[in-house]
Amino acid sequence: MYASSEPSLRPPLSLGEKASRFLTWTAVLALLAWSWHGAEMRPLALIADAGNIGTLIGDFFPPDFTDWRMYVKEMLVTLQVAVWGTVLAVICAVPLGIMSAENMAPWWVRQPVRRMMDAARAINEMVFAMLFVVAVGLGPFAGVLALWVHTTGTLAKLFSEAVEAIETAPVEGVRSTGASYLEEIAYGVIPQVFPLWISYSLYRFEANVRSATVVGMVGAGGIGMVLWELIRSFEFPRTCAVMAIIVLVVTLFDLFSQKLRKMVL
Amino acid sequence: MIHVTGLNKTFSGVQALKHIDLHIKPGEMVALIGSSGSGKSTLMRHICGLTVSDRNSGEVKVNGYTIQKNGALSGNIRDIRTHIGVIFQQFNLVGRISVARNVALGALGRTPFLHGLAGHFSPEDVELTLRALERVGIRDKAWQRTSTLSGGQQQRAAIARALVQRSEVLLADEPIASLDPESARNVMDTLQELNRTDGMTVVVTLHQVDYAVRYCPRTVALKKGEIVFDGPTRDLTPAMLNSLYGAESRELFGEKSSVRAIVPSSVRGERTAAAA
Repeated sequence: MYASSEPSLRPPLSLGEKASRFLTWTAVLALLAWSWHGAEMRPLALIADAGNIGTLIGDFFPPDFTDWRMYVKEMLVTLQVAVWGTVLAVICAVPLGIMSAENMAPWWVRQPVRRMMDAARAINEMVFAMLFVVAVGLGPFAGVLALWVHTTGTLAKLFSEAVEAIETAPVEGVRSTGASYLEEIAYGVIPQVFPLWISYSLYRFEANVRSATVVGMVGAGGIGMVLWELIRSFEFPRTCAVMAIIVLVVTLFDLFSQKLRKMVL
Repeated sequence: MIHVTGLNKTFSGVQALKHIDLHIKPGEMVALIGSSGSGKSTLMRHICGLTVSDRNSGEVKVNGYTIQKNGALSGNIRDIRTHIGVIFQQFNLVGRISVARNVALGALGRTPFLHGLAGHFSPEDVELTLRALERVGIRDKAWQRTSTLSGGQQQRAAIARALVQRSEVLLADEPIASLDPESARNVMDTLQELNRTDGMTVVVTLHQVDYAVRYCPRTVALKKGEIVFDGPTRDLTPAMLNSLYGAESRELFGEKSSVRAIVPSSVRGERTAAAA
């Protein structure tokens, strides 16, 4: 009996299961082929234009750090934008996150809040930045507002998922003492989700340091604005210097916040 | 003190409680026994107002307050809950905050709203908290994070929280089911002491009869959602249990645990006599 077929660790498949596997793989390949066309993929261009790309990269070196004081100053502005954008978002995400948690709010609160957060999340911070530049004028404040709205959407979702995963027993314990709804949240829910919330907030702060460097490109202040000006005037050695500073600072903050997150969890 | 009349509860088609009538006088210490699925914990959750009964069936009154009637919780249930101490099998403490703070939560009901949210309790309540911890024997653990305590210590912290509530009724839902025998005895001793010294009315669900025999003068036995016995615990002989529960009665005696070591000799004598 065993000799008739090779021993195998694969579970035996019925004909229907085999067909559905085949269909799944066909669909995946079809999707890739279809997107190849739409995205106008031309890998050969990389080879054909290799000379051009080489010259461009060559133009970046050596980097020109003459204006480094100005770059550092603008980089600080970018960090400050990220700080305020994140802090405001965390503050808003606490109530909004609880309001969109299944075990905390009735559907007529949950659904509208969730859809609002979906919208805030769906639209990229660059788009918000362009809108806020129109509303409040050029400068870092538009960047803060853009990060604030987008990050609130993301954090509210992450916060609500943490709330949905809590244990109900401690909440019932607090309830059994006659606590009010808000006291149940303050003592039963928040202590349970606190470390996760902190971790998510720090993670978003990392992401916002990166995002803050690009929202500047549409006029919302900071290093992004400098970068955009330099690229537009083909000042590649200086562009290179600015990019080096961005990479350095973003890496430093990633490492730092990773350490902090490990500490709270 | 506790009056349950005509209570029915159905969980997705299965009737968990069938027409329960139960009356408990002030100062009693009553055991609710039954095997798992008998409905004893469900009954307990109805008494403390964490679960509501079927519509148009029955009423629960504790200490003169109506907890629920005809399947609806009383409108001021949050106020009423402040007068009823509850402890649970899983302790239901908040693991990440200190023991003292968990115990102080018992005073939330009489703390002004914003003070309660900010964690400012009155000096009297802080003192009461420390005294309650002293009384249950874990004063030295007051500032530890609650999750670092052993099960028995956590259950005593939960009792201390009920003390801070200054409740006259203590409902204990399977308080010893997750504890080792020594911690279990310790917790039961504490409950008994509160019942005897403070005259606190104590209702405790147990799934082993041994502890009922040792600690509770009165026992209410449930089977498949019905009260099948309600009377002095000494009447609850093995023969009686056998007739009530059949093969299930072995579970109630905790198969492997040694009953003899726990049951006082006087009771044991009676039981052997009855069994013979």
